[in-house]
Amino acid sequence: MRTRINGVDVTVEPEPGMMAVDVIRQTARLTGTKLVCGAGVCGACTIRIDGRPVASCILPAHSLEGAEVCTVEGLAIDGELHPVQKAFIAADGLQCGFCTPGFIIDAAAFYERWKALGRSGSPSRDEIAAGLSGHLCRCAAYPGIYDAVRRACAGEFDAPGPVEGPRVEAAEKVTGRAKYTFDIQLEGQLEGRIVRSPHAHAVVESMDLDTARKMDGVQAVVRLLSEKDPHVRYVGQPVAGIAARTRRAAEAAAHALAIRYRPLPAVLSVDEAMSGKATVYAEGVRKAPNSAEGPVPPGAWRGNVRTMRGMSFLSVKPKRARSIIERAQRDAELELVSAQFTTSDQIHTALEPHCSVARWPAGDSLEVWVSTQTVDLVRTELAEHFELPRQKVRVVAEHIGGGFGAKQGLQDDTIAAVQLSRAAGGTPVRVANDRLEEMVVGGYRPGTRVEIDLVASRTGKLEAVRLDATGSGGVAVNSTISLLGRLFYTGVPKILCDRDVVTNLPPGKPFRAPFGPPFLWAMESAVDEIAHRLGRDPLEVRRAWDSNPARQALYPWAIGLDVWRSRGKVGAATGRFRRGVGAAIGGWLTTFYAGTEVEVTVSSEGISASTAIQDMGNGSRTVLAEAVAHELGVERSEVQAFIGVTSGVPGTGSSASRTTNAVLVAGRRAAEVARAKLLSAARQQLGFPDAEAIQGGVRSGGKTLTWREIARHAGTVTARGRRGANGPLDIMGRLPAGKLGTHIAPMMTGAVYICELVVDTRLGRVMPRKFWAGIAAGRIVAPTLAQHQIEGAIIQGIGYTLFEERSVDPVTGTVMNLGLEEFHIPGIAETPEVEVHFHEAGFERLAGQAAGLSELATVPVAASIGNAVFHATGKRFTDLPLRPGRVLEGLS
Amino acid sequence: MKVLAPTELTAIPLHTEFLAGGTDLGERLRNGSLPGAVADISALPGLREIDIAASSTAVGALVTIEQVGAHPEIRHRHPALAAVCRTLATPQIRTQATMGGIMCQRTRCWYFRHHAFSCFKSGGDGCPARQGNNLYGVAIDLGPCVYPHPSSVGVALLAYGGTIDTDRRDGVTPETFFGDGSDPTRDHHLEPGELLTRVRIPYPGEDEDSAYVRLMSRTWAEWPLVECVVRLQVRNGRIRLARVAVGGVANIPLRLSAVEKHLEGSPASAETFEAASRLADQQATVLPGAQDKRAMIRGTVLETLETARK
Repeated sequence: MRTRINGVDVTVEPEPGMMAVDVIRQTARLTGTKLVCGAGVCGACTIRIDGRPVASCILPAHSLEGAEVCTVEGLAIDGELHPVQKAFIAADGLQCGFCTPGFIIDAAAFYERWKALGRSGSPSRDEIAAGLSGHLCRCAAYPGIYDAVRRACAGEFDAPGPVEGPRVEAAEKVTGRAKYTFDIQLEGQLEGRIVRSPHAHAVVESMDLDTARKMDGVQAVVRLLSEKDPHVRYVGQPVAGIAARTRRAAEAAAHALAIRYRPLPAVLSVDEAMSGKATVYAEGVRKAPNSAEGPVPPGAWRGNVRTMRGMSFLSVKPKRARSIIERAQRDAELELVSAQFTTSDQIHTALEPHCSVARWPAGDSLEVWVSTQTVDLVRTELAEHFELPRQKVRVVAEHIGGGFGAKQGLQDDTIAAVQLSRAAGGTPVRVANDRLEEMVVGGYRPGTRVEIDLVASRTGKLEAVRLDATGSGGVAVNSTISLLGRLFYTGVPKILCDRDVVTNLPPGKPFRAPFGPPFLWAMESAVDEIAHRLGRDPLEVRRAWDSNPARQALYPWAIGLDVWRSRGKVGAATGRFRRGVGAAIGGWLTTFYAGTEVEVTVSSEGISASTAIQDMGNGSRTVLAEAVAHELGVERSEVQAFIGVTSGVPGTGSSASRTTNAVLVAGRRAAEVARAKLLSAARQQLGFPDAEAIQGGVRSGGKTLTWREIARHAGTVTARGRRGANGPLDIMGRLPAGKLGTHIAPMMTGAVYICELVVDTRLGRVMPRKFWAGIAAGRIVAPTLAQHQIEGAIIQGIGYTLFEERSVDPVTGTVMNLGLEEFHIPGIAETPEVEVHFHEAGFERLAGQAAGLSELATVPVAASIGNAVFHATGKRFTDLPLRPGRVLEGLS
Repeated sequence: MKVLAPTELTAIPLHTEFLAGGTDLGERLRNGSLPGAVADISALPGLREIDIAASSTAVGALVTIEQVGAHPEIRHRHPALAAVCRTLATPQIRTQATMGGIMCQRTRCWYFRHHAFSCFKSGGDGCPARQGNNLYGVAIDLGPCVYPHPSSVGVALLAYGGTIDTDRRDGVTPETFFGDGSDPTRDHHLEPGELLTRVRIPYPGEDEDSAYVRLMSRTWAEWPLVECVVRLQVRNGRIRLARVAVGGVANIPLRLSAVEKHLEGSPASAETFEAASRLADQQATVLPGAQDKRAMIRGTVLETLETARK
């Protein structure tokens, strides 16, 4: 069969089951086109066939016969980017970039249709949303995408010439050049598959791997299940791994594996787990995975229930709290809100699945490409796991197609790829989850149930809080909901309890602000409720109760907003469409990693900055380049940022909102040292004893020299900078940083959100229209990227609040969300307007004065929506998600 | 995979599925949940035409959904059908999916499509959804299979009283084509190897109000929670003819006869629509996981009735 791709003839004999996307990615080796959902839902695989945008993942390969195909790599003509590509760069219509090629291809077709109409101006948001409704972006870069398409259609990028944008790697992402782990194709690379447990709970009695080993094309078969603990505890747990020349051969071998399971009784829901029907972990086996980011504190187990030890220590005057709550039940002077709030499981489903390519180039050294948020930690854990010196392990993650918390540390796909490669004599092996695997084992935010009692006096004073919280992350533990309750509305008696209920379901994983959204869903709904009962302004109530200085700086702004002042009474709206305005607060820990270093090199070739961090779309590469450029007084484009590889310069993981600060400070310090070295070289080696540093170089008398010129004459200069602690008195910044490498600064970031929405009381739809996001997280380093992080966090929060819901078969424990068709993440039309207000002061004691905000920005969303729905309808919803049927039932 | 030549239609093996746009079959081909043979019909002649005749419109099996939704005459004569075709799935799917395929696609049930389960429709014996997770299950329980029928176009065809031609017979009614929902093994009632060649929609005349409403949790690109097509013919303020068909509700596209009966002969007023929509979930015997569908059915039917009269 012959086809023509980007003007090049391609001949291919399609195998059965081969799809157009396989021809493009594997035969033509054009990896800009991504394979994500495999069901025509997400649009990442969109190509143009004879001009028409088509989903190539469900198009049988033979349909390409004689066709003229255009992929993202074929859009630019003689190096001149398509106007839409330029627009995506300029408007920053992307974050991780994995969905970007699909969007670009379709947006280019949209642009051409628009031009053909000959209309003036630019398309409306609704027109763009309808046109691009076949694409999903998990980072939710939608506001930038709207902007890009609108500006491209208006003709802003029709003239030839280069374009600059706020994100340093944008050009690679809009052209399909950016290589993700998913795209790595090494010489002789084998395709690995993980064979997974079909049982929710069983003992593996025996495993015959030899039959599969002898099969055609099979190169390696390994056991992945622990020898010491032969139990499988959830459907999808890795049991064995197979590497073969083709995916088909690996799958055939997977079917041939004879694994004998002895099924055990399983618990598949919190209620079953509490009933004592069966026990997930036998006595003595307590190696439960961690569903949060902090260390797992000691816990006390009873059956399937694990309670965090020391909760009475974390509680504040618990006896007094209890007596106040009891008194409030009969005392009219006290207002008591008692309620139970629940949240559902939210699957991360990053568009790039968990995937790894491993090879052992020289027997005792290991090289691994991983889709990870933590290259350095993966290196450390690989060295431990495979008993190698750390220097013998190299980990690469140049671009990462989203993570959101689920890609930290050594994950199953990496272990499988490394083991398989070793068994195959060091040959490269790729292991990539398909979408179903990603839905099942890729990770999810654990569902929760929070009982809350909140007592306030009639005079409006907060008197007592009780939080009794249950998290259920399948076989994983470390629910820390009430613990967060310690950090908000401080100074009142509190009873705090956190427990995990384990079940025979896949492990939950940390998800953007682990346990933050469910905590604030309960807490901020209850605060709103009590303010309503007291007849007080909910924001004034918070201002009176809140001791956090970051938020105190935001309340006057929020309370003064017209939308807040003119909101009207609760439940006053009538008619079918009811407008509501709700508020909620948020906060998060201010973190960094003191051990982060950056190396700056200035040579005659240019300036570079490197460290072992990674960028999954949150902009760390840009922050690094920006920090160094700013300190040296050069244009950002003059600084090359090398990240995403374990280079020997210790970096930090991209999680816990610690990356921006760590990279910023270490980058500046490295640049400072480089500047001092270059200045001294100019004075001592180049004969300018009175040289002074200026922007971009030095000046001596009337003569100026750039940094590069100095390096050309005096030799290459290399300098390192370390993040370090926040000054000599910072004790916390000198504590051991744990495995993840996290230091906590003694100040919290703050957020105050207001949401305006419309509830359709006939069809049950909740439609957020606009958010006002007050953010106090110190200095903003890259304003456009920060704005886009906040917008993405809000849109992800909308998904969590309104429709994201993992579904499990109650009989077998199988996750039923096969992909993105059965698990609804927000599309472009779900984008609200977002107005961000930054309050940048207040972080003077933090080196760099800039704290992370990716997590902060998502925590208040659910409660602000719930409170706005209450304002619109007078109905207090307690269970997420607020899907249409549930809303209609609640209102009837 | 077999690519079919036009003359071979008589000699294809049993349990062959026809491949047209591939938007359903391609996915099942990819994930390996396709047991039988596949024959590509995209080269067959005579299936790509839209014929506008005085009394009816005929749409060939290989006409794409996008073409139907964009066709000016169809938009004018059968606006609710055109609306369905502009709303379902995504733009990329609509340019690939065909009228034949959309009528003959298999159920979207997550048990049917999951390799770990077998059910009546995948050659097994039983419906794991009934005792299982039926969040998107039916509200009107017509037979052993409890997942809603996937064909939005089928709902429109039912409301318009359209018919289906095949290579063996003409004029198959939607009622015959979809059956009564009691046979859980089937999504349609064509014989093995029988090829849908075109659908015909009678032209109801100028004097008609119609609408399509698709309730989804998001704005676009989702299988409907509930969908409804309404046709109303009103004379002197009274409803002379009412057709109300719903999807997302039963394992076949379904007409709501109690609602239609209430409407016909009544004044075309807000009160009538309110009262009629309250009958919309009358037959509901909702599964535990899909309890909240009742209110969605009533709301969607009311919304469609009102939209039709706007």
